[in-house]
Amino acid sequence: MQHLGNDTIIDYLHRELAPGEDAAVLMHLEACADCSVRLNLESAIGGRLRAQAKAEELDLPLGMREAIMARIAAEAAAPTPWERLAAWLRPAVVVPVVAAAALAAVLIPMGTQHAAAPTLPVMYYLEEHAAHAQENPLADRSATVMMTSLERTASTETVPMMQAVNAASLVDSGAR
Amino acid sequence: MPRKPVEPSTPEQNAFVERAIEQYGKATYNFAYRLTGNEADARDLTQDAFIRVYRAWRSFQPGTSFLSWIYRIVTNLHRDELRRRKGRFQEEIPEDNAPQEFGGQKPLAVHPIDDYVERQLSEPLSRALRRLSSEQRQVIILADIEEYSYQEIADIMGCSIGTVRSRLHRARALLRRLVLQEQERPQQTR
Repeated sequence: MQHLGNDTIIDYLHRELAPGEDAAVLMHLEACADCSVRLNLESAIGGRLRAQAKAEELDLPLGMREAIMARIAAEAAAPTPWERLAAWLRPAVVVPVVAAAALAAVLIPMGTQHAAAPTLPVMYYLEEHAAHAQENPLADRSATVMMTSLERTASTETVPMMQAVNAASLVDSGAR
Repeated sequence: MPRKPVEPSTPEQNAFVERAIEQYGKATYNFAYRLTGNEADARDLTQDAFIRVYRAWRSFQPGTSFLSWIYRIVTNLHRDELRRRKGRFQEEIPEDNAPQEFGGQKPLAVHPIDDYVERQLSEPLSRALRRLSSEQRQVIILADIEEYSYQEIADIMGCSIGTVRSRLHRARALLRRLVLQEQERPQQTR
């Protein structure tokens, strides 16, 4: 005779077996003393757990109900997130904030325009350099340096810039 | 923690919570006590559970078991708390029923009820229960003490029936082993 597994006995004890299986286990238990002993042990464990829980049963601590209701009252009195948002959006706060934002929107672009470095055309430097070179033809070492640096950046500069450089070199050579 | 209710509390809502505390406060507190093993945590857990009831009172469906609903709330709160404390629930807060030391001496007066509870807690099953995992202890409490069906336990714990079944089988196997060890001990000494 094959004995019942412990898991089957536990499920039987908790009335969690399907009807057919439950009936089969009942029949087996009537015929098998070993499995009946194991069933009794499991049943005794359950009984002791319940008896012990009953013996240890505690009353609700004094003041518990009042403490819960006090927390609820505090929570009900506190503003909800929507109420906090509404309070923040009241005119006394919103009007100055919007005015400050509008002022900032106007002033900040103006400020950045003033702060921007003046942009001078490349030709201005080249012409100045050419004039200087004409005045001091022998002292002109910077023409070469300047051309070299301009050629180095030619890949990122515009085509008119290169044309300006060429014009400057012509002026230099003419000056010599 | 963000609050759920947008609408203000109503007298009806307060009355609902008050009635719930009156009818189910003791059962909820005892359930929380069995889960946590100490009165301080059980008090906090019970209070938090009824605050959740207050916030979510409209989601309770009349005709269903209120006790199952609040047990589910307690179970979830306890699980969250265990995660928050990273499994150090018992170690951080001493148990209320653990023997207290007062400068190396026992307290002068021992309340007879406290003494009785302490003796009860020293039972092998109490010790065995504390050696179970949190989930195993929950399933033992719900199946063997509260006598819920596997389906009801699955609903409370938010898991499948298969999980309930396997947790109960493992927990029962451990309890059985510990009880048998206790039974064999006197025979060995004879």
